[in-house]
Amino acid sequence: MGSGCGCVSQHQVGEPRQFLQESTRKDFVRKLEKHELKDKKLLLEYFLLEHEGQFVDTDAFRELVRRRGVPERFRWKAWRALTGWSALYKPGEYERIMKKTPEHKTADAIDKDLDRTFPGVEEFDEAMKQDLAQVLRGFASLFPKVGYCQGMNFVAGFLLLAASGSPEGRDGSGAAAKDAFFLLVQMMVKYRANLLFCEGLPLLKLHTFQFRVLLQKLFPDVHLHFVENQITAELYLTKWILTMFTQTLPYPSAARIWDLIVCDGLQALVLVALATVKLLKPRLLREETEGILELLSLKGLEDVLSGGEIVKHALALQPHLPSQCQLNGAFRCSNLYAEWERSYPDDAADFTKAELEICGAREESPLEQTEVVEVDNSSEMEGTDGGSLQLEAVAAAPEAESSGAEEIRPGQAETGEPQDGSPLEAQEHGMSPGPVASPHPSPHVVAAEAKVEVNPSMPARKPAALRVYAAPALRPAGGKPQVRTAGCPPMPKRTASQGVIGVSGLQSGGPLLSNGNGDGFIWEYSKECGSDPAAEVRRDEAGHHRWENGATGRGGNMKAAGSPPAPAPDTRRRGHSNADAETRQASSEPPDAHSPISTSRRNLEADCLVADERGEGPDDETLEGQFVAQSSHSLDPP
Amino acid sequence: RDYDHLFKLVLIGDSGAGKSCLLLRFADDAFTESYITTIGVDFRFKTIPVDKKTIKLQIWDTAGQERFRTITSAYYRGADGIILVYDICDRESFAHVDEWLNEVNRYVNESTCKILIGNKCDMESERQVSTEEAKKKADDLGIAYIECSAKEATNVEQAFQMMSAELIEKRQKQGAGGRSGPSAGGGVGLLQPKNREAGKGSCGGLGSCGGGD
Repeated sequence: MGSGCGCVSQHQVGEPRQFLQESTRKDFVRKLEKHELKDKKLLLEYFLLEHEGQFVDTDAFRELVRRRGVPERFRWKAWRALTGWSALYKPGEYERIMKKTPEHKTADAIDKDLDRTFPGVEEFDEAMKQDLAQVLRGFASLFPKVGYCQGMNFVAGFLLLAASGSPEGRDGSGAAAKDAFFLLVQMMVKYRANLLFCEGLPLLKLHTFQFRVLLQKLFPDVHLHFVENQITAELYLTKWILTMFTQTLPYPSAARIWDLIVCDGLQALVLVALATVKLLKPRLLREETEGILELLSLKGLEDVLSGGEIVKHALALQPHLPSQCQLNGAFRCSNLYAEWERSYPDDAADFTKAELEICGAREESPLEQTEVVEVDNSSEMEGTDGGSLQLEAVAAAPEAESSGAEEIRPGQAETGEPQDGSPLEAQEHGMSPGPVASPHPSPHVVAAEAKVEVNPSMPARKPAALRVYAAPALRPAGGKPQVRTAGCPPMPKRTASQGVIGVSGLQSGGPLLSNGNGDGFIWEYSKECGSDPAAEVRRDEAGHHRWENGATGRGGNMKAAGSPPAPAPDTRRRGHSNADAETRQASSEPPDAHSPISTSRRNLEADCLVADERGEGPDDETLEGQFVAQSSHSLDPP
Repeated sequence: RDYDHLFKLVLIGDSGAGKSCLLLRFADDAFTESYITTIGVDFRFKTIPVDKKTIKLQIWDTAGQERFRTITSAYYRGADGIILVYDICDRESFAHVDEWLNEVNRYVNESTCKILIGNKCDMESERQVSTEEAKKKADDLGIAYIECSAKEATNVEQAFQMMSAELIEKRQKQGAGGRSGPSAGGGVGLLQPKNREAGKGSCGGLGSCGGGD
């Protein structure tokens, strides 16, 4: 924690703003709405933690969110900080994506469900249905391999409700839809919800197995009662998990559960499901089949099933799933995974295949994680290989456009560097000519990264994994199957000493995100934060642009209105300051983040979130280029 | 027990064909324009009198989206009756009838009772599939056909009655009149699943229900 917010020199960002005067606090409390007054203390706590209109992703903050939840007024901001979705944001990107159309069948399926999403919810009006259509279509065209799966309509609809839910929301500017879209993408990619929804529903199967095992173990009487009444987990759990509790619970309860999910990842869904059963246990045991199913529909049970209660019990159940799983969203570290693999080898194989196909890489198994830096270094060296595979495939695939992917210029792809005069084109093509997967990485990039890589202060991220994202789907025929230990984006290292660091597995930002269709995008957070002054200016505009969106959408009366709502920069996060310093060195920036000059700079940095880990990149021009378009190749199964 | 026969029925068909609405109409005699998307599988009981007998129907309502077949197919197995629903205003859903039958035949006995329902027959002006065409299709497939409207409660009860009567007859022919055991009899019943999902796990919920978990 080396940097501050620039407002008070001694103040540590992420710490409560105790320096705020009593009058400021009182002023805040005075402006609260009536229904908020009962949560005055908690609201004030969040208010004090807000810095320049945003929250900082610290362990303490996560713990607060996890244990006590976020008041609705601050919720979207908190989720923004915790999920790091704003790293995906680039001005114009949303509009560009929305111009794409998914395949006819998918669009049809989406349309069919619009009226069947939250039909009874008043706030979910016609305008929001249209937003829902947009968001789902946009997502499906961006990730054609995942496309649309029922359940996503509720998740996306819920996010729309949440995005427009803060007191200042709903201004009709469309900012809520945009926000919801990016958070949805973040959920899908970084939290790997893609694996819930893709063909075969692999993650749902794993979660169902975990749930069944734990149900039998923890509540054998309920288990037996269910068996006697022919209640299979699929009858209720499928809904719970695939809608992430958004369909079954009223909004406030679902939102409270999402507070937990954004902190702990999807694994929390299993604990939430178990906690729900636990809370209903006395009632469940009294009912027979139909009564049980009625109860498990969770309708009209607000008295027993408040979100707060559910989360409380879910947290109490945490010891039953290895804690690291809850912390970083990884699925394999659970001993239940191994058991699943033994009991359902075919399902487990499907899971791994889907990971490769959809996420572009397999999550590390705990066994593979011990050699943090070494492994990464070696794959970094190999990165040339893995990367070139991708790009060769790209170059060899002229049908990129028709497959729904962005066009990519082989020339750019081959070198991995911007061609002369190409940045704008690169922007047009929505690609990043950056260091991603370059077969001939420019030496300075490698150097910068190597520097970061050996930095022991940031073991939660693996630069190699960030850097070259081998997408097996893009492996050329005959190519050596390469199962990288590098995980899907959020997969952090889990070493014994990393209890705390592991949290950042889902902390803001993230590395490259494949859209997993193998033909399309690699989401890349990797842009260096602008060592080019021109780029800085544009980034600044970008920041403001985003802020305008954010401010009009919400938070207008919050303290820091007017300053860019950049996401929590890594500079402010524990355990990253060294890396940050290194990177700033690499990009010739003075490491003093307290200086006024660096304030705007930090906001710029925030725009690209993890960039400070990435070392210097040659691609400052491509501010739009978070997507790297790639072409489609059939999967080469491992 | 408070019934003479227990039958297990499964509703299948394209997403949006109106399966859930048919079930809602049949089970609760209710209708809503905006029913929520069915995720996975739903379930209802309904007891009806048929030919002086009391029939308890256990009805499984499945999600229509193809992606869910990996879950729903487990519920086809051991079904006594399959209710295949399409939307008369959506030709595509009719075109998928063969596909659905092929899918379901992988899991159930060829002789499992099946019925084809053309739903939404209240929306005559938007009809895309004629009654004649559908009837012919059903004849070719050797299954019964009926047009329903869940909205206007047309033929819904009748469809379930029809199916129940047929199932009773079948069961009586089989003699024993045993409990709800799936008519899995011969080797044809539980077809060798081409899909490995069919062969294992999930404990279907149907058939050997005791194993559900």
